[in-house]
Amino acid sequence: MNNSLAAALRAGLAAPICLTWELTYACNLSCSHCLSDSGAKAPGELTTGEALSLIDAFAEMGIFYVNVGGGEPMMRRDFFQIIEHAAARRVGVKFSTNGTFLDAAAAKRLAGMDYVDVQVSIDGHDAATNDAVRGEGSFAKAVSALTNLGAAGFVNPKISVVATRHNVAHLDELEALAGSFGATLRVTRLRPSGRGTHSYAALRPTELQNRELFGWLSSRPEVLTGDSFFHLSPLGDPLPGLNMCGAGRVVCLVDPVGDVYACPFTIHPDFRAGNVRETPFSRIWKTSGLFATLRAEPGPSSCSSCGAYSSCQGGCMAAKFHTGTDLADPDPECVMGRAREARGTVVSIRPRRSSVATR
Amino acid sequence: MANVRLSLNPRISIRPESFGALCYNFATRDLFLIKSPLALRLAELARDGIDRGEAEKALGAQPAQFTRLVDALVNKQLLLVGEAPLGPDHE
Ligand code: SF4
Ligand code: SF4
Repeated sequence: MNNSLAAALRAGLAAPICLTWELTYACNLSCSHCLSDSGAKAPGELTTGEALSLIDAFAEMGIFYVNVGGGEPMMRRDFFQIIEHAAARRVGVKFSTNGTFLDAAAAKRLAGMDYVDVQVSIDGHDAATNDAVRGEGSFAKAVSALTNLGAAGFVNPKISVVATRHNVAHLDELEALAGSFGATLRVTRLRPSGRGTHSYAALRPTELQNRELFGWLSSRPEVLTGDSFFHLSPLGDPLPGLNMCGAGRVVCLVDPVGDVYACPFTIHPDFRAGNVRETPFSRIWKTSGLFATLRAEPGPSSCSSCGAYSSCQGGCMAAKFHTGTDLADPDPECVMGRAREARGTVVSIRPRRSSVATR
Repeated sequence: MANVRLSLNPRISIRPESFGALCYNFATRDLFLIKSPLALRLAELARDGIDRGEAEKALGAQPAQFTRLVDALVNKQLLLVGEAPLGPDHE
């Protein structure tokens, strides 16, 4: 990523580049690190009509693609209707799934679509490692989904791995697993949000593992990282990507009830910019006071004096927020050893009921 | 040379931004920006396919400058040369 683009991105764009849309809080699994604390559907989730209009709004803003997640997005009965509408409006869809409902018929339907990427979540190279985090039987379901995609001729699915203490030692095996399905490996950072707030201490990679992970990724530019490891950049040459916190600048989240947050990892009233039922999404993106603050040049922080600041930029806002770290202090995984004692976890507050009245 | 067709790669989306435009290639997942107003006008002209010579005239660019511009946009896969999709009158 060149510098002029980075500067333009920091100041905010006409529309997000990386918009996550969690379709539902419903999920058949209950992974211990779920970023959105999913399980039961939230009351007042967007109706099919509202979902389709939202896609129209995305298309009119020139949004290139949306990252569709949840919850398990395939639990919505109108799942295909939604993504097919997106494809028809030329809004690309990269959707994340645990694979449970990705049977042969669904795989065939996906393989026939343009503008669709599929990411199957797997958090360990074998069933024991994966299921310890994602639940009994979840590895087998994910593998079956990938098998179905392969049989249907779906080209280049992704296997999405959240790096934890238990899988960093097995990256080679995960790479081989992806290879066996003709899939691309994607490895992202575990952030302490949702249920991950509680499991972060037990699951986060150790300092040594973060070094190993960074070295491993550095020699594999083909492995996708969702630009999530820039806090490790001081360990070497930055990995490919934007390498900055994109919250409210290039990233944002629309949750299942239409609440808009700065980032998928900050589901908390402090980072809520509005609701698409009350205000058109484009207006929220352009006029939110919260987003304006996030787009401004950051003030002095305890990272300012750090020689690595230009590459690390103080790390991830969500990781700091949910660990009770001051946002002007170093990332809890600061590789220069400057992380401060945090005040303790701040939990995600996702709606158990709709935050606006539905008519 | 004058009769070569230039057309916009249908796999690329272009979105206006304060600094010019942001482009996304759905085939390669490549994200890039265009800052030159001339490049943007050329992309606009090529939207429905245009003769290379016509485009050069319309932009009023120097031949050497125009060649560099076309090469740069072809390099980015934004412009396709001689592969204009059939226009509405061919349907
Ligand atoms: S808060 Fe963290 S996860 Fe969210 S955009 Fe910033 S760096 Fe990325
Ligand atoms: S002190 Fe701040 S800028 Fe320096 S490495 Fe740590 S988190 Fe990054």
